[in-house]
Amino acid sequence: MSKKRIFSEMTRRDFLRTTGMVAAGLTAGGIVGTNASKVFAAKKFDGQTLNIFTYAGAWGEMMEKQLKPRFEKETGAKMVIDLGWWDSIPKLKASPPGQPAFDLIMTDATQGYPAIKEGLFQKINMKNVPNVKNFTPEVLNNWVFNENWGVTWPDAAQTGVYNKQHVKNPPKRWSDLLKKDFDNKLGMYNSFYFSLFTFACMKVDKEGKAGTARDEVAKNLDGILQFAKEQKSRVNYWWPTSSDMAFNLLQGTVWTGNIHSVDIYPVIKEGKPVGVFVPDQDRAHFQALWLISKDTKKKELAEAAINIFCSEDFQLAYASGGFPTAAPAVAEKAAKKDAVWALINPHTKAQFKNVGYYPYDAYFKAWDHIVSFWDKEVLRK
Amino acid sequence: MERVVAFSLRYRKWFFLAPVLVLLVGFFVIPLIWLFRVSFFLNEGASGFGVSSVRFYVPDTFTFNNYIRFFTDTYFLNIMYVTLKIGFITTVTTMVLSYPFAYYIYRAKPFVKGILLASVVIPKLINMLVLFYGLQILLGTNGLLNQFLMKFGIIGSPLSLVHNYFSVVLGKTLLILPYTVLVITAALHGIDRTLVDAAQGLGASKFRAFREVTFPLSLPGTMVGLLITIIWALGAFVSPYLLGNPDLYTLAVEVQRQTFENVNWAMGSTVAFVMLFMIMILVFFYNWFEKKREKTA
Repeated sequence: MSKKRIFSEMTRRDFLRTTGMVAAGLTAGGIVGTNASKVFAAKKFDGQTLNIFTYAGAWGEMMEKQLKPRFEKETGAKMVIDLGWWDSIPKLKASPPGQPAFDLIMTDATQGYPAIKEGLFQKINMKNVPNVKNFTPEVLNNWVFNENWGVTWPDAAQTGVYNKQHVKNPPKRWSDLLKKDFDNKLGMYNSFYFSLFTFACMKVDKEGKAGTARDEVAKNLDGILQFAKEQKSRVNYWWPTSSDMAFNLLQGTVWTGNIHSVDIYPVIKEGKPVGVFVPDQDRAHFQALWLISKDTKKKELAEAAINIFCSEDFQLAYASGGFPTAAPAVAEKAAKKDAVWALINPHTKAQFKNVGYYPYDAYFKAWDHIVSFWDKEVLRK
Repeated sequence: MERVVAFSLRYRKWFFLAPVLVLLVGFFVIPLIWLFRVSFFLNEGASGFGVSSVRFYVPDTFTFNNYIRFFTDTYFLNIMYVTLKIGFITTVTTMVLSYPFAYYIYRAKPFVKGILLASVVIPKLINMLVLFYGLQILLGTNGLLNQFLMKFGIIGSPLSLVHNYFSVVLGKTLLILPYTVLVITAALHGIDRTLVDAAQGLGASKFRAFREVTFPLSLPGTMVGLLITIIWALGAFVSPYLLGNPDLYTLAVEVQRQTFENVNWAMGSTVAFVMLFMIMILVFFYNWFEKKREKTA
């Protein structure tokens, strides 16, 4: 064998060996490098999934389009949104121990208060929710927040609504709904926590005492129940959902009544012939709560979601969707941009001082009595 | 060897039935038994929220109070009455509309038969909510029907066609009708046509042939259609809830209100089982009547 031939064979062998080693090295380096970059970019909650429950309709859309992207970007975790209405607490109650149906729930006082007392939720570490300081203190001054059970805020406002095509003299105050023109033309929510307060507002306004509806509920509940019973024949439609009320209002089946603000806001923005009125006296909102399930193992992740909800960035998006905001700085901006929003939602210091929820405390003192009277004497002829 | 073969043949049917039985027992019968037990738990409040009462139910208790309350409180008795009334009217309306329509399909030529069957099935492809909101658009105060009637001077002011018995029964009938029509149509198609021809050949008129041959032979299938209609009509929920008003809420709606809105599971279970027992009694009478009719036939 000549030197040249041997040298060529060794050179080819060496070449293949060397090429193989370089290729292996590059591949290994690439894998390590990629993983290294992933490790450096990893967020605290990468790979986790947070199951949340929120109300369907406008709320569901808002959480899907605005909260979920912000949450997933900031935490690295996924958010799965379950929609519903009255079914969240029963579903949570029926969950097997240690496997809650949801990690984080949006609910309201009527369902949330008893569920907290039932032991379905755990306390929140408010140090993980620093953005809650954006909310005005008036909306947090309740036992749910003070005892760290959850974060509360005033959501959909009690709103008077009317069909512009049928109503020539638009109502401006609650006692206007008592006019003869609206006999058998009213649409009212079939749930008492809302409509009983509307009747209270009508009653006190009629008596020249606008602004005292909460006091009236606390001191003269039976009087208001009786008033509601007397007015029931004027109600043409007891709506089960806001969407039904908006639908029947546009159809002309009802001409005026009450509705959740967030469900009529898009209808107005679409240019439909609907008007609203929200008297400054006796403003009321339903109290919404974020609560964390007792059995969830993702408490910190749930707290992160609440923190993002309370951020000014999200609250601005929330307000842009027609929702009230409990952050005064955001409310001021939203009011300047949107006159319809400003008409419905609190945005000045004076309005925030008076911002209030439905009188849940008064309701809970006589709940069974109210339910029984409402179902038998008010809803039914 | 023969004994082994006989043994495996004997138990083969259980092998095929096992998955269905597991599903039925595990996901239907056992939960139903548990739900029945819940109806005997204590919860004395009108709702589950009252200061003086509890949420959901009090575990480890046993009481007949929920059933006593149901049968002594005029509120629940009235709901039961409304349920039976809506069920009866819906059943009669559905059967009166279904049988002639099914008979027409039976007698139609193949091409027309196909179109008619499609017209029955297509509404079932539409979401129920779309159907009901469509009905509201049609029947509303400012709806298409009222606009049409007023435009041609047939009425002076709009008729009230929604949120009353009319809209509830109409909505429920539209939901049930396709099933009843299909069942009766199948029953009619099972009749030997030569019997009808023979009757007419022996001098019977068309009507007499229908009355004495076709109708009696279609009865078994028609009775099945009737039973399906009754069961569906008594379980009405969406129609009374969306197209009705609180006076027309049925037992099914009350189950939802007690369970979800009032969070009174004990009462919700009670209402659910009263509804179930009501339907079981009707099925029992149906079976008794069918056996009697078959004996007579």
